[in-house]
Amino acid sequence: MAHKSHVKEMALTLVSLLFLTGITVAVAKVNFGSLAINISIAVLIATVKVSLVMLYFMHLRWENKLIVAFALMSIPFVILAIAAMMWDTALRLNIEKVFIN
Amino acid sequence: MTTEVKKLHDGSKWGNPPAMVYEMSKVGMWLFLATEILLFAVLFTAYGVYYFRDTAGFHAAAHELSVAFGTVNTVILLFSSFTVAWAIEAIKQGNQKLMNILLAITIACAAAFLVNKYFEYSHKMHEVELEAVALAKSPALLKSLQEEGKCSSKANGVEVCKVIPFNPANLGSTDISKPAFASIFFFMYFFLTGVHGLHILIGMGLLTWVLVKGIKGHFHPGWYTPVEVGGLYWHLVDLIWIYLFPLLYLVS
Repeated sequence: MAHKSHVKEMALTLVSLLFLTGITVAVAKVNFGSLAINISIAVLIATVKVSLVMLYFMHLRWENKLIVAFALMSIPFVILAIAAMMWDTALRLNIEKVFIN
Repeated sequence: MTTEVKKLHDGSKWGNPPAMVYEMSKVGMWLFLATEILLFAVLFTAYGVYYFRDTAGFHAAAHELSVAFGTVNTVILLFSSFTVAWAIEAIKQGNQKLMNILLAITIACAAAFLVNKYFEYSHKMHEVELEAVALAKSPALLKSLQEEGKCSSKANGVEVCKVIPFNPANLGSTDISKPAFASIFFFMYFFLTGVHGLHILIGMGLLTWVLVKGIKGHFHPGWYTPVEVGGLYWHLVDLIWIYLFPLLYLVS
């Protein structure tokens, strides 16, 4: 068990997370031209925040490879589920628009 | 008074050495967290499908959520994640008292989050004013509201209706003009935040159990696995909320 103190890193992580939360709220009010861009920016910032929590608060930065592998193994499936859903839903809605309008 | 010397937990379990128990407990918790992430991925996927099918309705309905409440709850969760991470650092250095204080702060933050949620939920069980476009996919409800005279046109021509986003009295209703949830957005809002809130409650229970053990002096630099694993669970609650917050509160 490692006994090196990481309190300083933890505090910096909290400050970064609060800063990014402020940015999330601020950019939500800005129109970046399309809904897709706005949502992508929000999800991107959220992903940076989640990475910080996982790396520092959840210690993944200092963990051994087995634990890192277990921590990351669900992520490809999350991306698969959401990407497949978005592709399929977007495709069908476009088809509806083409045929109905 | 007995003069019995308290035997410290050496961190071994079922004959396994402490280092192994520590590492394997973490692997086990991460494996469980992977299943939790997949559970929420399913809910997020459902949210995404409905969002693309009724984008305008979702945006109009999301106006009803309070960004201020959502932001405060985000800050509370981020801060509580920090305090629980700090608690682990404290016990690594052998500082039991600091760990107990930080765990107590974390539990208090969890309670504050739930109190906020209670106010948000009860607000949505009373009549609010929604743009009619938020109810476009619930035509029977919209029609009955219009007939009851609950809808009116604003000066800018936008039609607004007075409606209860979640009406528990209508739970189990088979009358399509009386749905329990005014629109799918509110169903998804209550479903996602409800399952997340359940995790807050479980995390609170888990951390309280760790705190009780901490107050009894069970933990020391050689044995703090429950603190570490309880902390991991608590961070998951934070991870989920980081995505829920922009997707529910900020899409308007």
